[in-house]
Amino acid sequence: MSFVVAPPPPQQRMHFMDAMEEEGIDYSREPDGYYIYLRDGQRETWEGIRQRFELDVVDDDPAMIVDV
Amino acid sequence: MVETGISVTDYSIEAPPEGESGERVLLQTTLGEVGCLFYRTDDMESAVLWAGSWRGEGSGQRTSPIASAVSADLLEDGIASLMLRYRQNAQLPACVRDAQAAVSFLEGQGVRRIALVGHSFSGAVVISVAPLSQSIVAVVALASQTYGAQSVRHIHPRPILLVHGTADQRLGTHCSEQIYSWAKKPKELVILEDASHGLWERKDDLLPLLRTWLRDRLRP
Repeated sequence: MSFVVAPPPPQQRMHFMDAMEEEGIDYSREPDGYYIYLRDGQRETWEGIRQRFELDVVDDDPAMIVDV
Repeated sequence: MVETGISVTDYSIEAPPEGESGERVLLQTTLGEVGCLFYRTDDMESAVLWAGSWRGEGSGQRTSPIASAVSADLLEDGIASLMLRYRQNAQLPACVRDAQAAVSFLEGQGVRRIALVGHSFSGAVVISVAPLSQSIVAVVALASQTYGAQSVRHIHPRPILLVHGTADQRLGTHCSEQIYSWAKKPKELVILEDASHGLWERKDDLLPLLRTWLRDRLRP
């Protein structure tokens, strides 16, 4: 599943991306926020990160970005 | 015409432009003449290459205030600086070649540890050049654009510092965040609140950050 969250406060963004990288959760930083791509079994881990950084989901059905 | 490589064939040293210190170095290359301002140290062990930090023509020539301030401080730490002037501004492949020529010049001067610093467009230049020489030990990209920066993962295992301002109206902070997400560790992202694209509003934080970060990587 994929969705978009608003960026955390500036001073937390590096730590947020580090946490995503450490947990192996795919994401992409775009101008309108962070696009999160969860694989099976990552929902609980993601929920922990979401709560830690107090992230708001701003779009739970984003258009897919396809590089061609 | 596609530029496929560059070699420094000779160089000359002249007096600096009015108002500037250091030496004016003209690199004769296989692709034409590349100008630099050179601030030497006695041992020439380490140096910072400030890509695109010298710009303008005639009486309008100027150096980046960030590069000028930090290079003066680094001279006190025994670290040389070379401010590079591009042959053609905003032409990424050509500017990458110019930076390669400047790295080659520094290596020829005996410099063994080189840090690259680029601001805005030049962030992509230094990220592109860093993987091409083992002498390059660290990279700083200030308010960088993303175009041309996708190769940032190839900088690994050398460290990269990314700095961006929240009030940047030319390139949003998402650019440096995106580059950070592409990079491998060691990597660091510093977001300066209320700093514009020039970052100068936060110079009291930025200049010490750059001096310390560069000195620690060039004088370990």
